[in-house]
Amino acid sequence: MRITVLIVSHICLPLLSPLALLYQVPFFLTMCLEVTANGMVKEWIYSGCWLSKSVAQLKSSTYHGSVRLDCLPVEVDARSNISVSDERQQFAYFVGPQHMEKIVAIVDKKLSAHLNKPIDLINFSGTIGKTQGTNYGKELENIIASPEVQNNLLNITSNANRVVMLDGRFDAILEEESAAKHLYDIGGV
Amino acid sequence: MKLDFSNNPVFIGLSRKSVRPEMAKRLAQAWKKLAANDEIIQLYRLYGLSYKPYLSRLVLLNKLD
Repeated sequence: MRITVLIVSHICLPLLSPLALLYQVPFFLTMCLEVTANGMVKEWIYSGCWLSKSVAQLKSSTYHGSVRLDCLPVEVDARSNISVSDERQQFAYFVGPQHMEKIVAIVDKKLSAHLNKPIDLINFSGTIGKTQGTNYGKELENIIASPEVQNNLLNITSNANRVVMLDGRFDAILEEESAAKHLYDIGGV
Repeated sequence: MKLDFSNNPVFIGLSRKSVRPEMAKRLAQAWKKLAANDEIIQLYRLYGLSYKPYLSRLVLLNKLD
């Protein structure tokens, strides 16, 4: 059996290797890298594909993040850094937890005093950006599902969406810490 | 401005299309063994990565048939 694994962060690589050795599972590791405009591999990237989808479907996925999914020549059998949800349990098994993902809020300075913890989202008056298709865990997702938050929620479907934050489209963005750091590094926020 | 906001446990997800339940169980058991022996913490250290120790209740989140 060959399992193709989509590695979302470099953390996953050392963790999968001993599992493969322990139980003789020949993992085939597909490392997903971001390719910059000039063709240089920049760094480990972030992806939000679904295990049940083929690569062809991934290309048209609603989540793009900063990944070039069209560089993947295979179907994805496993991926790291995935939250448990009822929907995902329909098509995936979960092993771990592998990591405690830290969700951060990038907030416009003018409104930052009003957003310090997840529950503050309910009374937050600004627009909130969240990457479409992501799941940040039950606690945060329950708050996001409230009508007050839904009224202010805008889905981020590409990096271009994120970059326009500075132009006033979003007052806050929810993002996984490493992805947020990536956005800082590339000047997206 | 960046605010620490929320922590969320994330897992290695295995497709039900390509991994049989028995194999998923074996992998989950292997993971628990690694965690119990602190080998995961050591792996993080080996690669110079920070790691937050698991809460025991989180390990029970494995949902296997």
